[in-house]
Amino acid sequence: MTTTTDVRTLTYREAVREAIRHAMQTDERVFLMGEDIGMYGGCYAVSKGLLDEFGPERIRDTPLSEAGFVGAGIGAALGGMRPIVELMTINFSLLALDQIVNTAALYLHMSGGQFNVPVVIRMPTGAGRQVAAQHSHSFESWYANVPGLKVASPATIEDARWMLWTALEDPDPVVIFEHVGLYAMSGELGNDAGPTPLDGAAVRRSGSDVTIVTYGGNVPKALSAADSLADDGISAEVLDLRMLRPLDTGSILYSVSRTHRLVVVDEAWKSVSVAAEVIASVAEHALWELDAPPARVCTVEAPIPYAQHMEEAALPQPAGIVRAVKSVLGR
Amino acid sequence: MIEFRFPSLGADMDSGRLVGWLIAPGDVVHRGDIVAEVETDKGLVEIETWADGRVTQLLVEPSDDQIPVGTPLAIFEALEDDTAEAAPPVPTPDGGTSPQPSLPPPSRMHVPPPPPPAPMTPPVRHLAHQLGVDPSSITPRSDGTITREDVARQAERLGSGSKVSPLARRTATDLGVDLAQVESSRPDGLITADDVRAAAGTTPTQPDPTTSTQAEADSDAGADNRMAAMRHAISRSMSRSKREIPHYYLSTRIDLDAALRWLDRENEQRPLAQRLLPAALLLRATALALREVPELNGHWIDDEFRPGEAVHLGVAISLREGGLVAPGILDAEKLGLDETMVALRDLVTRARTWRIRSSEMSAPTMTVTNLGDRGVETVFPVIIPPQVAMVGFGKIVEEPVAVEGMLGIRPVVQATLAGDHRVTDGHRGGTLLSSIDRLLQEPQKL
Amino acid sequence: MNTDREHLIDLLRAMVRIRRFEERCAELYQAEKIRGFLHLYIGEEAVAVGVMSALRPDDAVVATYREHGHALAKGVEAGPIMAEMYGKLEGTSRGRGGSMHLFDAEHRFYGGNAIVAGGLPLAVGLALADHMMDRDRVSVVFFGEGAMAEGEFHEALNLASLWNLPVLFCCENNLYAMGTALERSQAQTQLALRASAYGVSAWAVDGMDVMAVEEAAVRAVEGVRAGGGPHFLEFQTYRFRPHSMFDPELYRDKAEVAAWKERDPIPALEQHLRALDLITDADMAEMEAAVAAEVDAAVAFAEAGTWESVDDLTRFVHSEEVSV
Repeated sequence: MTTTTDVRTLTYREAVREAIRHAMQTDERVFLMGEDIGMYGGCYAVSKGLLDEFGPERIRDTPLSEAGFVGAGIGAALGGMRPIVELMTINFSLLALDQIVNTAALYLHMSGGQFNVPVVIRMPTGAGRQVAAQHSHSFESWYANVPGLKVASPATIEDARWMLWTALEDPDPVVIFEHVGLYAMSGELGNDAGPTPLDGAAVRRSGSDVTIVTYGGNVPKALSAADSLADDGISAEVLDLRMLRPLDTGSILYSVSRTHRLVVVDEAWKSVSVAAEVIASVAEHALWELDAPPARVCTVEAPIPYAQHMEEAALPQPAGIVRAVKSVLGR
Repeated sequence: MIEFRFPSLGADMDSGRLVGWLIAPGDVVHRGDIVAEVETDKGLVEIETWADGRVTQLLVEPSDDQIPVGTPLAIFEALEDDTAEAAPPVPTPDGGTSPQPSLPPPSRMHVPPPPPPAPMTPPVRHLAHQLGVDPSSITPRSDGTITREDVARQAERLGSGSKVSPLARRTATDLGVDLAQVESSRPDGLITADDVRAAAGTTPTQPDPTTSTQAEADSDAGADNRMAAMRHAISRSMSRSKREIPHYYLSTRIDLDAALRWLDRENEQRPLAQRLLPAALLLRATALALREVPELNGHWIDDEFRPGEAVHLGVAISLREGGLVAPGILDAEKLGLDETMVALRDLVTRARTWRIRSSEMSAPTMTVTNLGDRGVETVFPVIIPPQVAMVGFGKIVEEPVAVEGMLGIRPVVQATLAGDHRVTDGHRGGTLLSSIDRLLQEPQKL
Repeated sequence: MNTDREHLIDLLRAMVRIRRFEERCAELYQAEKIRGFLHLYIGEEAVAVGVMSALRPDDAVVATYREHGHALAKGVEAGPIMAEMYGKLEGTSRGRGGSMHLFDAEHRFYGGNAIVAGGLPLAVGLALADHMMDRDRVSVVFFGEGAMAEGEFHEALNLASLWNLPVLFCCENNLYAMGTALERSQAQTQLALRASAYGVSAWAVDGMDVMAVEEAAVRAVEGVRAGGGPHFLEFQTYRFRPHSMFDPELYRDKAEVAAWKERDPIPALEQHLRALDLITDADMAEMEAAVAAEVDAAVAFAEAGTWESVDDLTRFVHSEEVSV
């Protein structure tokens, strides 16, 4: 147990801001670039106050040109800088997909090892705020499909504060997804916390009856489901993937080989999702450990609607996770 | 003589049609001249020559035939002062370079015809459809037919009443339980591992002994989990070994003087990266010796010994973080000494970065452990099931040895065999050790 | 502008070198030594040669998939380029890139980008890094007129101009985006006019006249380096050969090709030099012989090259860490 003097409480949003500030104070090659990150303070207020502190050269507002400024971030990384490029949301990142995939991810391999691209691309992801179909996507799996990228999904205050540091140290492109539902979450951070690795999943709650694998904005939902399950005498382990590429298959297999049951919670549409990859890996490597067919709790395969009750019905919810776990357990 | 061949104009082009010649025998052509027109999938293309020369013969007439890329189309003779390079003629299969004007067009995609379905009467086919049974999943009778009963039996096998989880199947095999005798405890009828254990009269073992503690849950997963998973695997495998395998042990001292002298000489001539380690000699000798004693090379499965078809030599590799794995060098008896060294190095590197393929983990037909670098002189190995033997080598030490009546200080290694008494006895085991000894005395032949 | 005899002969030699190198590539392609796509620059040599002549070695170049000429003119050796096309380990990119993806860190040659307009934002970023680090280097990006229909062109020009970055945009207008003629695909065919809409200094240049190209490039590079912000040059040029190797050229007249060949930049410069009595038959023969020897050596280098081990397939997906 830690005592109160060893920890402080802050929000996820403040943790990300602190991470950016720390990186900019430490390394003059680091700068932040994106739409409305300066004067406006960031669409999700992450970069609020940083313009005053660092000035417009290093807190660089861009025009609405996703391909253009992401490409420029990649070029600046090739030119010796350590840019943090913020996309306003994952929804607009599709306009920059060409640069992220065809340039950032490919250049090192395609150039025979000559040109690494040390760029960090951050973007909010996910639904749940009634912003309707075009602002509610979860396309993390699209990026996780691409060799050459590392794909991070910080779900805790500690990862929000410290994953960026590790990402900036990485010589290769890292894409960081921040779930919009997490920004307001507050939690404790140990004063002795430090850089967290860009590999490895983490057990957020241990259990012995079933493994719930999830990431990002669904980690709190899975933990909440695990609380209710405990009331029914079911001990659920919650594994936070943290990284979607590289995927820590070893930790998934280890957990499943103890609980023998698997439920994957993923806010993406079910087909061809991260959830699909997790279950495929278990089928490949640990089929004989499974004591029941695995289950997936994903977003209903329809565009996400505006009306609150409809949106709630579309997305994974703790109640649905509880139902899936019980079904896997035959209860 | 210069051959003008049908050029390849794109990665996706493998043939084309010769539409017309723009040259005739006797013409002089120069590099870059257009000499023919060709029709391809993409349209009409003019083709040029890369050589200077005088046309002596046109080998192919314009026609509707598809001509494969590379087919000689014409013969030119070099001009007197020709300095242009001609592409070297491609030898034909009969060793000559003669043109082959009548090559068949390249084959399009060949889809093998599906095998004819086993004969079923229409009512049987209808039944299969009703029960959702795929007829191709049924093994036909000896006369090649599939009957109503066959369909019904297959439907029953696939039916809901007999769903068994993979873990339950494995548990049933481990405990020797007939799944037909197991009842499900679940409303959906799925037979789980606990159901199998209940049927076997054993207590459900949930949670596993290695179930995580709070401390583990707080840790940052990854390597810790892998470590714990590995410890778990080791404990399962070794417990089973000690429980099931009646071990016998034989040990002998092997003089390595000749082997190490030869090795030193050999390594002097090699660049650092290609030097051989004594371990490679020991592995190579063991692989060869196993060929002479096949009863030690294989698996004990379902109460009988199944000899290995090849020698997949397991190597116990200790990891930096602790623990060990024993993946196999596949087909070790077919690898020369250099190849064995390369394979060993590769295996160790990958084992230490957790990049061993699962086939390498399950393949070994016998395993070698070499604890010499830990300072141990004699190893008493525990056989890794389902293998039936294991050889351990200790530290190479200098000892006084009497050779041909003379006392000398020689490097020796203690080799120990653990054998499974269900398969072999000490006599055959001894043969293996003496073969290894003999082979190591003539290292140049390894 | 430098009109020394030696300098003009250097320009001629640089163009002849590209021409002969690529003629050999075409031959090797048909002999199946080179595979994949092969886009030849023949006819457009004056552009790369003239522009590179205006650059410093530490200036960066981002090129297209028709980039053999740019790589050669930027100083990348012929041997590794040829080996790359053979797919050999000794190639500029270990045989992983082929004709379209030549890279050379030493010469600041950033590819070899086969996504039309994909290189423009990259050049803007390279220039942004120089701007932020107070370095007086110039980043040059080559692209075809087809790229001017892409959104990335407009985004890149706007960014570079907005932030006053040291980029030289070089549009190689060869009139066809693959097989689609400029007037069939773009509403405003006065390309410099469109670029100037972003507040960029822009003008059109005869891309078949290497001296005109060089003169324009020198002026533009000086402007960029002096802090005048990005410049845009439209080089009016023509590719004499098909788009790639497998192209029946249904979209253009033979008479049009023949007319442009009359303006071939290599004979044009040669005739200019002869008219001034600056070059003799013997000089030309000597130049051709030297170039032929270099191309032969490049082919020999490629032939003697080795294949990358399949075991290395996943090397450089990520940077190699220093071993622990």
